[in-house]
Amino acid sequence: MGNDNRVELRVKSIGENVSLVRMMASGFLYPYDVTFDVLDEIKIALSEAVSNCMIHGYDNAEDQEVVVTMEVQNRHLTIQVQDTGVGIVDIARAMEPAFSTREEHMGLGFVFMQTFMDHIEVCSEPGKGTTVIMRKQLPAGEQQMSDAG
Amino acid sequence: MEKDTLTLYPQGDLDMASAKKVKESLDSILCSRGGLKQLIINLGDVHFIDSSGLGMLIGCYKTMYGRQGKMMICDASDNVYRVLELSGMKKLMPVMRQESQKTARGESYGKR
Ligand SMILES: Nc1ncnc2c1ncn2[C@@H]1O[C@H](COP(=O)(O)OP(=O)(O)OP(=O)(O)O)[C@@H](O)[C@H]1O
Ligand SMILES: [Mg+2]
Repeated sequence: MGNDNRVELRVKSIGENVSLVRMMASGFLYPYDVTFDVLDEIKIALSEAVSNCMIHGYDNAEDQEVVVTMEVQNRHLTIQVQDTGVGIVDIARAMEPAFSTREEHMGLGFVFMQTFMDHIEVCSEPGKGTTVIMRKQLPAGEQQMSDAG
Repeated sequence: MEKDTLTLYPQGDLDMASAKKVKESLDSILCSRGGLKQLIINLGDVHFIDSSGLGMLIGCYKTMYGRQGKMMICDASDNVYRVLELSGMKKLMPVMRQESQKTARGESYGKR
């Protein structure tokens, strides 16, 4: 489809880049005429995945890299967020609501990713890093709906 | 006493980077005002919040709770309110939503 697209962003692991990635996502999704609600859901999921890489994957070290890939095919969005940090020993446990390995955190990141996206997949190897893949079908925009009706 | 209540108005997005900054200034305010009994966080100018922002709010709650004080959140937009609701924050403190929405829900974003 003419409207399909793909971008890959490599960002330094500094907190300020989390909002930069969200802005990039807003720009990337602009042609797909999604509602503000849907855009907000995607931005939250993305924000959680990217900040997890920086906080947990890299233990807040600022000289590392997070790779974000966004792709749309037939209005099907796939977002991949990858770090080469410490990895996750027990993925199922990490994804449980309210589970966190850090005192000051609430363990809500994966809850939001699961709630706001259709599907989430986590691949991780201790010492090698973590990859989170999230998918969401973009609801038909107003333009498509009025074309159809 | 008037000085017992403080209302704060954070602005912009509350994520990993900004929550850290807000937390730093809040900590110094809370530290210098030991007698503070009620903290109100007005989220009217916050348009985005994620778990880092929530963690910061919970941190404030713990500080206030520790000194027998109260905390409440007001003026949350629909999107922010939804996240606060999901987080279970409402079980800990009163959370009030914005009365009139600045952007209508369901409004379309993007190309026409
Ligand atoms: N990229 C990652 N690298 C290493 N560990 C991770 C990564 N992402 C998540 N984890 C682990 O999974 C746990 C749960 O993550 P989740 O985002 O749900 O909660 P949290 O980050 O601890 O808290 P919150 O997101 O509420 O601030 C983390 O505490 C951490 O141990
Ligand atoms: Mg997290």
